[in-house]
Amino acid sequence: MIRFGDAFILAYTKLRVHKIRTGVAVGVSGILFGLIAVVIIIAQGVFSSVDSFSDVGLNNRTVVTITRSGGALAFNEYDKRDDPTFVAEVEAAHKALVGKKTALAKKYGISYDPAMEDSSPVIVDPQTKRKIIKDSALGDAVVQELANAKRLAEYKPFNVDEYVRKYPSAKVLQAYKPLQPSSGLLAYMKNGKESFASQSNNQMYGRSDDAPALTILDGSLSEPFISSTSFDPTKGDIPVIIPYGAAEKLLGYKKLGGETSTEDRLTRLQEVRSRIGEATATYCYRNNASQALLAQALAQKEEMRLGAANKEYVQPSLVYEVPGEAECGAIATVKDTRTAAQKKQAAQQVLYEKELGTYIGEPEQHLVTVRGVGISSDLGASGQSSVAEMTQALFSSSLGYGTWNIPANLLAEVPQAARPASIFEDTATISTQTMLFGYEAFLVEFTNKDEARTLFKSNGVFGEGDATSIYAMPFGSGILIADELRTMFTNALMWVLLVVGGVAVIILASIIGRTVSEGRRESSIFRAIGASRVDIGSIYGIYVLLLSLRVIVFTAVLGIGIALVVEILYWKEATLGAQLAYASSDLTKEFHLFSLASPYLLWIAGAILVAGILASIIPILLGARRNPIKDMRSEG
Amino acid sequence: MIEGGTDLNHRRAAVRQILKEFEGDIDAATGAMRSYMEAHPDVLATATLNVAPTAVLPISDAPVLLSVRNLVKVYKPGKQRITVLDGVTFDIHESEIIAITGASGSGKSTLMHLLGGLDKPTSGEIVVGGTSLAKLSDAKLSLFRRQTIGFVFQFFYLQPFLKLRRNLEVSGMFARMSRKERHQKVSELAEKVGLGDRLEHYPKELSGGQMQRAAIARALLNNPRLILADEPTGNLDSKNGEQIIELFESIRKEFGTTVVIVTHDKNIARRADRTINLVDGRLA
Repeated sequence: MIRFGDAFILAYTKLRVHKIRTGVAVGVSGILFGLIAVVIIIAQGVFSSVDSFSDVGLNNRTVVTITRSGGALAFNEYDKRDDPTFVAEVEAAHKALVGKKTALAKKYGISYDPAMEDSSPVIVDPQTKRKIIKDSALGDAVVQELANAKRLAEYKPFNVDEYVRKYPSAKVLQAYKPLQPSSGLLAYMKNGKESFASQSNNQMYGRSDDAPALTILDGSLSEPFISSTSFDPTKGDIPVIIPYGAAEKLLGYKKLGGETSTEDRLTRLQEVRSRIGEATATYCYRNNASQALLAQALAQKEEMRLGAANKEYVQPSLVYEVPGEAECGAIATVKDTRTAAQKKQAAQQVLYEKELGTYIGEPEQHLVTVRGVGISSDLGASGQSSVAEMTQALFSSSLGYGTWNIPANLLAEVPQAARPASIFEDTATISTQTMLFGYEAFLVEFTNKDEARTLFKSNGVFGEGDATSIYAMPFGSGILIADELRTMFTNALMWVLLVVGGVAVIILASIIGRTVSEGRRESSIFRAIGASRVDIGSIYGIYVLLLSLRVIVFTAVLGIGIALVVEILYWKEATLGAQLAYASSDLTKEFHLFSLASPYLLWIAGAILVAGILASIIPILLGARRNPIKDMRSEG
Repeated sequence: MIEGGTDLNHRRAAVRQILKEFEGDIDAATGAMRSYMEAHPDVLATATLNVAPTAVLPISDAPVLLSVRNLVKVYKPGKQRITVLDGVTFDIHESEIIAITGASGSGKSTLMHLLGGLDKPTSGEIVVGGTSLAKLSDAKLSLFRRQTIGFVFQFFYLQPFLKLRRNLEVSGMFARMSRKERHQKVSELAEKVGLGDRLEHYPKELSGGQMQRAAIARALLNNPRLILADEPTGNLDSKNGEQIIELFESIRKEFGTTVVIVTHDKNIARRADRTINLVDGRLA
């Protein structure tokens, strides 16, 4: 059999003979495989970089938010307004209330006109002639009390312990919900000002970036995000981890424009991080009585403004002052010209309300100042549904959307007076919203990542979701999603390689087939001067290897070249993105998009070789078995 | 002693006389033939073997190198049956230069390919150097070709992208000749065929005659006992053709190589020791 070196010389000659054909085969196959190589190199770079950030934030822990929302099962008075049973109950409750009020009003000398103050919530539908609850009465206390009672009776608290029992490594860390005072509202003071316009919106519709909720977070979970060492708890400020964008705003920075260089963005991040201790914001707590009094003061103020032009207008005998917007202060009395009888009447009214059970207590308000102690990521939303959001979440270490987290351990160091129990201790009863929407969330830590993955597949970001109302999301780290994407990437890569490999086989087969058929005369001459079939097969085999090697080299050059360009162009931005996403305390960490450490690059080389071999087997075998005489005749 | 003239009839008569005189005693006939040839070197040089197909003429006392017996080659394209060679029998002795002539389609090239083991006969036997080709496997035939045969083609078939040196080395590559030995032999052979200064040139830089000389040098690389040349001058002018036949004569003289030339060229045929003329697949 011919020596390898000699076969190599003759095979290499074939590549030189068919330069254009070889170039086309190498070019097309190389581009196909090269693009895959680009994806692999960049993906490997990303995954390696993600790994390098694994000690940042909560990336080394597997914490999951498990949320239940069961609103569909809750009692809803709007659906029951024509339900005869409910209507009858409402009618009876209303009758009892009117009776009680009438009796108590008589007892305390209060004027009470049931027709004016408590008209019946039930009417007869003119079309069906059946009793229904009026639309306008659905929010009445008598309807709401009944509905809430039914909801409470139906309501089953989310037993998270029972739910995670099937995951042995899971440990429930804490309930994860916004601070909910036992009475009233804790409202964010946008730009340091109390909003007198729509006090209830925050409570009704939950959190937003403009009105972030406050949530107490376990110290071990919040610790990786704390960057300020200057926090002094004795000053009475509440420590808080602030999302980067909000911190930037609080510190008076203008949001950087799209044209801002990456260096400037990193510098900004560094500045915000170093100055986070200067970032403060205020919340105003008012209990129900304070809110009601404020509402009265505001209405009174408006009434007096309108009445100022009217000479016949008589000011109320008891006038309240609306506090300053930045104060969150008590509603002071500025004028009290009530007679003794009027004051007695007011006292009687309180007694009447107390006995009736509608007394809302003494006004209480408290200005809460929060101070930044760390930064969390802006990225990530509470429910990823699109690929874009999932990709965004890949790098996110978000600690919840629209939520500022208070480190529990630091909060404990704040003097008690600065953190009243009515705000900071979990004394709230289950809210109507909780019962209606069933929104209850818990933070659960898994020591076994696979169990978390299983949960995500059945009830979370990785799965298609099932009919249950449980939803699981990574908390504080997107590392598990990155892991999952890596697996998905590998699976997808297999298919892409198969398809591209198939196309490459077809291209290479046509090129090799033509080369073999056009080389028949040459082969017949070689046979005449002593070459065996094995010799001819060896020459073509090496030709195919050389062709495949050229494809591999072209693929490598193209893949590495494009990936390098991407790396050079985008690594700084990626680093910035990762720094923001991971809120890393180490700003020297870099996020690269280029790595050749992927075994899948060898897969590509293997796929090219296999494609070449598959494409060449039949032409070479057929060529080697041909009668050289025929080939000499047909050519000679 | 037989007296001979220069005309063809006279020479034929002389041969018949020899055969008659020494009938049954081939050795004696051979001796007589040699004596006659020494005295009349031109007599048998262009003699045509116009004898019965089965007849063998002992015109040399050199050992027989190639023996062909009742060779038949039939092609069957579709339902047709074409007999290309029909009972051909002859011997070729070592160091002979034999011309195979005949009209187009007479079976010359087929005969050449069968002699070189590139094709298998339908029936009959070819024995080269004591080896019957019919019994050889494809691999053994390949070995036989590279050890025993040197092919020379009308169109030279040099590799256009290989320099002349590499082209000449190709047959040595299949024989697993060492690079050093190849290099040395190629240099020697190139000198011999007058191409010593052209080894680093590509074939396109050579003339037709030079290319054919290069092809002959390639054929000689493995020291073949038999050179099979298919229309070696068919693509050359008469001057170059003359040079090629002189080269074959020189090779025969120097290496004792037997040369079989398929040719249309009467001048070439005249220069051969003998001519085998084929007519419709049979010896004429």
